[in-house]
Amino acid sequence: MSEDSKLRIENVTKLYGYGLLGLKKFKALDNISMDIDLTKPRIVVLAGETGSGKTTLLRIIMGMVKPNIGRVFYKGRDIHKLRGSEAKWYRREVQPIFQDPYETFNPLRKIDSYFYDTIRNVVGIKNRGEAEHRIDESLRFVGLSLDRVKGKYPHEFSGGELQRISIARALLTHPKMLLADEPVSMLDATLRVGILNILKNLKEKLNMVIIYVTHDLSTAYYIGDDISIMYRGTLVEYGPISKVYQEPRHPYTYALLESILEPDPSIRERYPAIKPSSIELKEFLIPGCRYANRCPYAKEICWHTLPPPTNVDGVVVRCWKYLDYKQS
Amino acid sequence: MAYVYTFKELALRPKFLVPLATFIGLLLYAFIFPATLTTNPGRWYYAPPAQPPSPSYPFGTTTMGQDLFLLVPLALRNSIVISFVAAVISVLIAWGIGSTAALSTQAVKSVLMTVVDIICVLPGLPLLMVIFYTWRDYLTIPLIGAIMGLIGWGFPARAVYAILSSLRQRVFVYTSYFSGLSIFKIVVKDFIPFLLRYLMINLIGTMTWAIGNEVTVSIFGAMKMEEVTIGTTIHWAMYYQAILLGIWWWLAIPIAFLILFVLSLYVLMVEIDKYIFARARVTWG
Amino acid sequence: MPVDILTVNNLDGGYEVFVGKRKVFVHAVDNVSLTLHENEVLGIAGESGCGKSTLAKMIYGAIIPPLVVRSGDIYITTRNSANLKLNRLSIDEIRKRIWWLEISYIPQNSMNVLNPLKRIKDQFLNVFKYHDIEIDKENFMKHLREMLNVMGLPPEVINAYPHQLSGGMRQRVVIALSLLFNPRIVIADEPTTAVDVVTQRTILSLIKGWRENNKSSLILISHDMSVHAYMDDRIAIMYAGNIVEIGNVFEVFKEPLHPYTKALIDSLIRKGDRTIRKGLMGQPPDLINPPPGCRFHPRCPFAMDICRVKEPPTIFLDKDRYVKCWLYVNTR
Repeated sequence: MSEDSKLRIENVTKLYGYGLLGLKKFKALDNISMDIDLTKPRIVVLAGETGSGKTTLLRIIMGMVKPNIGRVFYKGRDIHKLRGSEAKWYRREVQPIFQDPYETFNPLRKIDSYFYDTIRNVVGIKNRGEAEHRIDESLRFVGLSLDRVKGKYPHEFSGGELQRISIARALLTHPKMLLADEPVSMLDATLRVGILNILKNLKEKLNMVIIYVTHDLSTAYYIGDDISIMYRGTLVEYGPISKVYQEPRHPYTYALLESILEPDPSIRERYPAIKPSSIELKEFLIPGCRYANRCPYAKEICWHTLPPPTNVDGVVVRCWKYLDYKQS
Repeated sequence: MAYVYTFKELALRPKFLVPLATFIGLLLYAFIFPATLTTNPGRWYYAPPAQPPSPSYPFGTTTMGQDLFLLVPLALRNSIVISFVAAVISVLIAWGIGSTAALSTQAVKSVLMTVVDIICVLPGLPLLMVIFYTWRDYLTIPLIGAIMGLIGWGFPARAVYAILSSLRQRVFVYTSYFSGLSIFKIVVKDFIPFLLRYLMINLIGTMTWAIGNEVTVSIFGAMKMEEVTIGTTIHWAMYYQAILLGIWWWLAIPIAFLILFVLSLYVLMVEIDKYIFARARVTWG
Repeated sequence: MPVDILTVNNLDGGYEVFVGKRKVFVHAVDNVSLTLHENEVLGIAGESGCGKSTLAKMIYGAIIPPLVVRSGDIYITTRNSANLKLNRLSIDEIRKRIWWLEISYIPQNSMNVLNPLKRIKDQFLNVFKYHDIEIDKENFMKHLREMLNVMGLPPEVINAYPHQLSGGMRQRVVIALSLLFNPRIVIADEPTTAVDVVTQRTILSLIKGWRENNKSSLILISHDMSVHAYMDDRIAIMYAGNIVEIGNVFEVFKEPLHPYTKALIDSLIRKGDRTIRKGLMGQPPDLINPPPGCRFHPRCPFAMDICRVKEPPTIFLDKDRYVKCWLYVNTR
């Protein structure tokens, strides 16, 4: 993979203050590194509980939050150093979708104003007719049309429709990469499938790369190709989704997969017991592996040193259990 | 389910028109009418003293021989000017400091907000009384308002800081950014509608606060008592035992006009606010 | 023979609200009947806006305007075997005699329900005081510790303020509060919607454990079918204010009868399954102006002419299994 064709996340660390005056710091993200190939269309899942740092990481990739240490390169360029026309270029290449469709839009503004703004400012089309044609095309891809949307305010649409509108707006710039932050967690079960199918379509028909942040591992499996499991700001496992699901290596991945509830009452007796989580801040301050507190295999070394990434059968794991693993 | 409230509907609602008409009427009465007078209604003994309301003196007269019908608009005008100047000064300072604090770094934020907190805890009324009484010889109506404005901007500054801080974090700001809007455009398109609502509340709130303080300070006599304001009028009425002597109109009429003014302003503000925000959600009754 | 401890008969009601100047009626609960047995979990499933929360509020007795009950009755059998008509009691009586003691309600987003200015132990103390229950400090602390232990919370929580705990922990504190007096009936409204998978599993298994120990009944409201699959004994499917199907959870999942239930089950994503699932097109109807006849007919792939005109009757296939659909009229 050449530099020009990937998204590279390099040693990204993000600190947040807490306590009096915010002077004490904890690491919301600790030394995250990842490479995503942009030439092949794929859906990369960033999975983890609340507090894992997945949304923070996504916001850093969006460029809205700056990492304290580390950099993010998109097609060879440091995204936090982009200015002027280059910044505009990035906004054409990368677009976001947010979790709460009602928060995505200003309730006091008409929905179509966002479309016209995007067309005029990011895409650069000034001609009204051409702009409207492109907007309509984008809306039709998600099952709506310009007539249905014109002149209306956000509260006039249902959650499912609004999320589709949000996707349509993002598609206006024909982006290469879509950053989706839990796009279906606020929608009902019956509506989720529709949105997820649209995302699948975007990958297959428009050759896009989608980074999909979620805590719901069932939907992740439905559309994901690769998956990164995050825990308290650290990346614990990363690899092709079928491999990770069939044989979870990291103890946390295993616990996470065991927690998924199946919509099948006949297997309800088979769920194992689970240990509840304790006060979070303490776990963030562990210098070594953050999962040490809850891990059934925790050793002395786990508490004070972060395990290095090890490649096990094509899956990257950060766990002391695998340090001596040698590929046969 | 959507209810969209158009401007025409707003303009035709009685709840909007009545206070608007009252407000405009009061402004005309307070500003235009005194300008037509050739002499100062604050002088004494140009009318028969202590007359009850009658066709020739619709609001009656005071013990010092002043025609209330000519006196009240002047008093109202001065009180309105004081409160308006106070409101404008207070808004300018509060918004300047509040928005700077919300949009800058942690260090600047802490320093500014400490200053704001100090202003908030200043005991307004005693301070005003001392200042007005000490410098009563140098006071003019606009200056009175300015001093009030300089003392009362604390709480509005905190509110502006809070509003802007939370607006900054909202997700739709990101959406606007990815729609290609510059920071300036985001402030104009996304923040201003929310801020406009608070601006109104701020202005009217400070005006009411200032009028209230002016009246209180004047009743205590800690002001330049030669000036004709609602407060000083009430003060003189009480000083000359108006109630005891049965000259109820001397007290009742200025107070009635004060209430009418504040009330019409308030209802007007509520209706305009409902209009701005009805566009964003369904109104529940 | 399962004993009925709660019976809802033809409950009908909704919200009286103003749209602009007009007064309109949001018909959120349309002629709903159901029974709750002793020691069972009854789930109420449906999309948001289908009326399940409204139904919960009515059963709980929190009937404060704009919520009105137009017709129907709710009967409960208390611990002392008294039979009470809930909708006939005054709100004060309900507050003192019923809430927390007989029926408990865990609201949506309950993590935000705690008083941010009071320590956890004071919040518990308040509940005792409110019900005029005299309790000495030692007993109280013991009871409190037990309750928190059941919910898997460490003892430090007793002295903490709400903001010092994570969302999941606050949720568990609120649940512990509502289970304090071992009520016979617990109504949980989306207890795990705002938390992530691991916390969800924790909370649900704790509730399950508590219920099995206390033999209480639970009405579980959620739009998440996996939660229902894990917890329920019987399940009721709600759509646009009607209960369209009710029955034993295994049967409903294996052989859904109502077309809406079928679509719901079809759209569920199972672990390890990547085959394309079909969702439902369109959206739920406006409850101010619901469509005539069966409220589901605009989205129903099996809609017949009669469906568009007449509301379907309730067809009982068994004592506790019924469906409201014209397709089954001839299968009694």
